[in-house]
Amino acid sequence: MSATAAYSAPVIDACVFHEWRSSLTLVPYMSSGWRDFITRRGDLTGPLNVKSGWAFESPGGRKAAGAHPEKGPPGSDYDLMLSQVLSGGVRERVVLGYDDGLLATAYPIPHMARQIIRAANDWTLDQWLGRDDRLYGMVLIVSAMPDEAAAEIRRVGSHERMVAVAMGTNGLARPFGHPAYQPIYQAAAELGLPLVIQVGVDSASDLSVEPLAGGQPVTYAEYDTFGAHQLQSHATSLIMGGVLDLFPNLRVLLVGGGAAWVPGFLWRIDYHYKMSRNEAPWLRGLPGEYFERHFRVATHSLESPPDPARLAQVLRAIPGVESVLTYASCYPNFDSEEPASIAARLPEPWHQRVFHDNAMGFFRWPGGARSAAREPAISPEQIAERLPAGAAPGDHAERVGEG
Amino acid sequence: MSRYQGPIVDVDIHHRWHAEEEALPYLPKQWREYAAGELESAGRVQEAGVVSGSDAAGKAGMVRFSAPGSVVAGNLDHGARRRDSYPANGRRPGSDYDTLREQLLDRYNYFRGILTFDIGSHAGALNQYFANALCSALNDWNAENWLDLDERLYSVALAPIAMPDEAAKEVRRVGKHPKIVATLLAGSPFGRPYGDPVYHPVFEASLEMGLALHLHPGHAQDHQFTGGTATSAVGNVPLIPQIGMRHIASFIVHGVFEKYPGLQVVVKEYGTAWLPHLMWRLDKNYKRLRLESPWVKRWPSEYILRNVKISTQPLEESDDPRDLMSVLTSVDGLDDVLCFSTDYPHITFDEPNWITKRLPEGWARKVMCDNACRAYGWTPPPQDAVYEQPALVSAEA
Repeated sequence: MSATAAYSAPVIDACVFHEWRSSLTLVPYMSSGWRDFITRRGDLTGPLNVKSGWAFESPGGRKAAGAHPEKGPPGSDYDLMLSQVLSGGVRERVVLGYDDGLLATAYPIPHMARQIIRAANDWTLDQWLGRDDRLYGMVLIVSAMPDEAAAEIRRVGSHERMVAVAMGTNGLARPFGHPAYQPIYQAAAELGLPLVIQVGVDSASDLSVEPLAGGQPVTYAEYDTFGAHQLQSHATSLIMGGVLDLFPNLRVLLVGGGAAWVPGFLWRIDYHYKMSRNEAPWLRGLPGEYFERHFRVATHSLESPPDPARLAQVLRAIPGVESVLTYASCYPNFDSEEPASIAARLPEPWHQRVFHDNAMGFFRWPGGARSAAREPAISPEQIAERLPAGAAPGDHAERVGEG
Repeated sequence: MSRYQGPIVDVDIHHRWHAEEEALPYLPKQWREYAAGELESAGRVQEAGVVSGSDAAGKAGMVRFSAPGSVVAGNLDHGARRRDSYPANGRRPGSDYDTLREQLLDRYNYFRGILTFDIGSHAGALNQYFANALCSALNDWNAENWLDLDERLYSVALAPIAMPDEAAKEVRRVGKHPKIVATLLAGSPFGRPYGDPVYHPVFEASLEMGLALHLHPGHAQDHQFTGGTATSAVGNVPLIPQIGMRHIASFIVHGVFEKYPGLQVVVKEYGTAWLPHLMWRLDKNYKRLRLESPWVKRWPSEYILRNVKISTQPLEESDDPRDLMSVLTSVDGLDDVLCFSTDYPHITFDEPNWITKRLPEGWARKVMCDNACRAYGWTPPPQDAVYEQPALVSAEA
């Protein structure tokens, strides 16, 4: 066990949650029809709530006690974020994502959800990225409308300070490897943008999926404990569905589920794949190899056993672990962590990569060599016709008409 | 490491009838008529393997005894059974004692094995009155056809848990048999994990009868993973551990192990390598848990070490066996938690010698035998005990 030590070099924070203060924050970026509808002048309860709810609430709240600004929700006040996250010279770059904002992507009126996320993307560019050049953004999308989501990625994702796509909630109640979602991946791959999938993707009250396998939780402890299950479901589906063969430059960051689940998960998916390779003949390697190549796992909610050496003992079983773990504070959540407490749990030789290099290689930073969309390793027809990589589609055609 | 030569307890052997007609006579008349169906198509015996799921053989038009499993998982090669487990006499895998004995009991040094039905999701029949009658009938079929065959063979009670009070009655009825050592739960009918108070009468009856609980992946409804329905079997089965973890956490947050401190829960076929992750994350949430469930008095990981056993099959196969050993030793005490199982005759079968090679040094005797003995209240046999038919042990309860 190598000794852990403090990490003092520059840090990239792959996920800090900024939030809009109220619906009214976003209406300047909307059409007049939606502006009037949401502003709801004269209504006794104020403007329209544009977010779905979380499926489960935490006693004590979801946010860190000290992160509440005088007005508005945690994450909504730039000055407070400046003092709590951006000062002190720790963070060289911060990627702004959403926590409660994700709930807007689950709003049951898809046209409204689309309008909200368009406004949120423009508001982020205007009010946040325009204010501080250490800040970068994610394109928020509504996955329930894959073509619209692709259009939004092309519209906003061309901005060089937008460095990823936030997948938001699971709009179609199908895991993300389902073919219906492919326009999203096509657009992201074209623009070289990676995807960010967060715990919460299946947790909105208006989604027709349950946040946990095997039935609803009765405690937040259960809900939080099993956050990683949402990430596992979507990772499995993306790999098995051939998405990473169709879009070989696609990269995915999994946020909020800890990391000690990864070894057992990879062993089991490889085990079952070896047993039934014919289920996905288009795959060009083991699912675990895809995971190592395409996925990064954020440090948010990293397990914290009494003896940190035990954590490293588990994490070492992740192939290429020092290139997989990527620091994300997820400020202002109640369990957000500064680099120091993460560093204290990880072997020192991993630090440079976890706190800086992995994020540097993951996001589509401005000025960097943009990895052009690589040629698909297979075609959608190969998946449709159940053919291995390299086989030519259409081999059944000659038999048509033979009776 | 030298080869393990000590006694073996196998906590998950799937036995079954060849065709459902074999178990029909154990149903009362009204349910026999319901299940057999007075149909025009009756009498046409279906070819094994044509229908997906574990009850492929049997007359067309019969009501299936098992709740539907996942279609994609049921479509695995050879009906997800070991190819060589199809007996020469044409019976279904797991239905022929001689084959089972030759491939399992006599081939390895079996002290005891637990017969667990195939896969025992009978309580999940959507007509819960039928499920009630069915569980009783199948328990009787089991007692009459299997429990006296071999001193090494023990088994579980089926309980119609969609009617918890009836299930408790059935557990008290069947649990008297000295060869019945656990109550099998394979699929939660209410869409709620097993710690829920609705199930407590079953736990109370089991404890009263000295039975452990067996948990096993069950019918398709029990396999609702997060994220929506998977689009392939390999998209589905790797997520099965999610369900096992949910059940364990549910027992803890509902205070089941405070209410029934003696309860032993044997959690089968959900894997092992997620245990440290589960224990650390539950412990992380302990403070919140005290607010939400004030009856939780201990660290969640303590309850797991005290009340839960985990079957080895399917033991995760890291390329380097030492990686799995690292994970399993990252939490102290798991050497007292794991219990060997084969899953015979399923395609995911784990061979005893394969497993002992992959266990951390010094774990084999506990995992292969002693931990299960503790779960069922048995006295562990001496290390040099050799078992072959006829078994040398008496059937002490």
